[in-house]
Amino acid sequence: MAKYDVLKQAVLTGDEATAVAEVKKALAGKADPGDVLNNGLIAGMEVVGKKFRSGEMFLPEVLLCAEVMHKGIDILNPLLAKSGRKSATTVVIGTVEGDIHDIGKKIVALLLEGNGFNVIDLGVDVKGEKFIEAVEKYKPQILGMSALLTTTMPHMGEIIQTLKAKKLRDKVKVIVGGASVNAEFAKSIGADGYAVEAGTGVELAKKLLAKK
Amino acid sequence: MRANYVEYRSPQFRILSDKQIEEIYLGALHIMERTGVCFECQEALDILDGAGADVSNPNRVKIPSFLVEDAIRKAPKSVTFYTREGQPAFVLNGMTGCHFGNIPDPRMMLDPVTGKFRTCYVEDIVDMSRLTDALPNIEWTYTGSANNTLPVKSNMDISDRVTLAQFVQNSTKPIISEITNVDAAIEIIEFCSMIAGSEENLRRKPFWGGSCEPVTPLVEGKDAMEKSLLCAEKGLPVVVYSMLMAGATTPATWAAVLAIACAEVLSQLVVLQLKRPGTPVIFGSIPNIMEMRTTIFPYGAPELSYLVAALTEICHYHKLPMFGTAGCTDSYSVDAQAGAELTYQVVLTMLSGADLVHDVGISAHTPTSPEVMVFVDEIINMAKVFMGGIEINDDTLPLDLIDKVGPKGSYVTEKHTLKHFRRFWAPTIFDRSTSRTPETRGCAELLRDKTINLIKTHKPKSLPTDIAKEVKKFEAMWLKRVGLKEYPKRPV
Repeated sequence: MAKYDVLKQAVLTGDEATAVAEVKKALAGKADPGDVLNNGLIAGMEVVGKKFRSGEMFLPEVLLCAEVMHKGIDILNPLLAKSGRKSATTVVIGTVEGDIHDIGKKIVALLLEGNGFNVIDLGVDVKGEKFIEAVEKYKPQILGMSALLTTTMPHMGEIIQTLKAKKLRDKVKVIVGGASVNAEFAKSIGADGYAVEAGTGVELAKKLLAKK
Repeated sequence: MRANYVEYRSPQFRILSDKQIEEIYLGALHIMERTGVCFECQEALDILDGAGADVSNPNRVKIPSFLVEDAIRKAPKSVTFYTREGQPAFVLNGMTGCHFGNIPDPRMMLDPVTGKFRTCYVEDIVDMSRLTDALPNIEWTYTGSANNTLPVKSNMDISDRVTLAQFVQNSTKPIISEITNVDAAIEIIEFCSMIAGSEENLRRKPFWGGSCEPVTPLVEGKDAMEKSLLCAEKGLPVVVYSMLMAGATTPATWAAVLAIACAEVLSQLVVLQLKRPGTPVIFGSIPNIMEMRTTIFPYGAPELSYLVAALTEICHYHKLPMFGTAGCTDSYSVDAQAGAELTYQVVLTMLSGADLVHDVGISAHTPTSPEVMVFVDEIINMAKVFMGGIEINDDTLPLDLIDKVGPKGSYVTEKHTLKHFRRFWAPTIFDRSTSRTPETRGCAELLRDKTINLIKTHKPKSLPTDIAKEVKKFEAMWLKRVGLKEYPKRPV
């Protein structure tokens, strides 16, 4: 049996007790915390991700698995910080000004966290300046913007222009989404990508970061 | 002459008992009193404050039950819609059955000629408006507020106005509009008043109504509330509906979805009846599941029809007109999945009797398909067969004739058969041929041909010349705002 099979299985089945016990056991056996993270917890979530994409697993189950993974990460974090590990990729996400719809955005945020991303959710009705401030403060690798209403979509273009003006545009990948958005619109405003639903958004985020 | 005779003139269909309806309603009242509803519109907060609600926390405005009971009492139990020309079109009062409406202006449409999805152009909105006018079972339309070919400039999206203008030029049927914001609503009402002759005419004989959407769970957004308050101020009908997703924006259990739907719409009803008692409100939400594998709002889900039917019973219990949803499919073509989903929806809706049924034509859970509209028109006819009841009298149970023809006889040449056989339903797009030959046309071909033919040949009644001229002036004004001289042309 491979090294972290029990841990991976615990993540896959959403079994928090076993996952936590396995992480502690591995650490007690002097395992490298990064190894436990990558080959145990994240590897388990990757299987979850595959099964979600193929329709074998459902969103609430995926989110439960993600929660279990995070319980494991909570134990590892202090040790990872000590060893100077690179922090997780950061995503800043929000629904643009004038729009209060957020269920899609919430699901994307949860799935991103479930995939090990560090997510800063700015909420809804977020003014352009607040997005820019967040990019300056948190230095995210990804900026995600969501809109349901057509009248609020132009804000996305404005924010991208402001990023350019402040010489921040090439420091962050921009993904847009929401019922009113489409691939053409995303291209026209100079976004790096468009995701039609939450699962696709996560895959797109990973793809864009791999390109860098 | 009969005595104590009970006759069913329609099938009897119940999902909820009266007690269950009361329990869900009490649940909604409990939510409004204990959890509260978020209001982001200051005018609504002021109205609620003045009436005795607790607005100390606008994110959780607590609304006492007496306000809800009062609002239900004041809300009209009967709402009449008129044609563009001021003739009564239909009455929504729980007694007249279902009135189906479609969407003439999606962003994307399933082209009946190519069988492919493509962008919907303004010319397509014209075509679908004429198709709406041609279909006997589509009695009204729901115009939207988004078009991919019209630019949005400085928060100005003219799509809602443009669609409305295309529809009034190509059909006399009533309209409910999705509206981008309150400024658009003001302009739309001005436009419709011009068509009706005056704002007073529009109010007395509305061919148009507005709509607004609470955000689930329990949020009355600023824009949504402002739009419905404007309709209330003008005495115009307004549809208030939210789109609930069990497991995502509500608990994953049916009673909860229904209670939250009621709480969301009833909170608006309270504000609107306080603003102007007697405001015609059409109550309805689209309770559904979230598809937990792909996260879509699955229009074809059986749960949607089931929950809409249950909500219809709750509305009718309180004698409020209900906004239904039917005629939608998640399928990407008009195939077996579409057939199953559309029929399930139409049948359940007609059995429950939702008054104003919208969204006929949705395919692939978002774009519209003209073929789906024509298909649904046919399915409605099919469903009407069982909605009429079985009348029993000497003519329908002709014992003398049965005796005359006797055993081993035939009824084919009887005058009685000649008199009655025309009420057998004759499909226009289903294949009932005795055998298949290379020339036999199946449902898919018949449907496609009927759709294309109706779009090509139907001639709706034109607007009077002077009104048509005014419409063009409005269109020119809207186009100018987004920097266009004319609508982008559909590629040949």
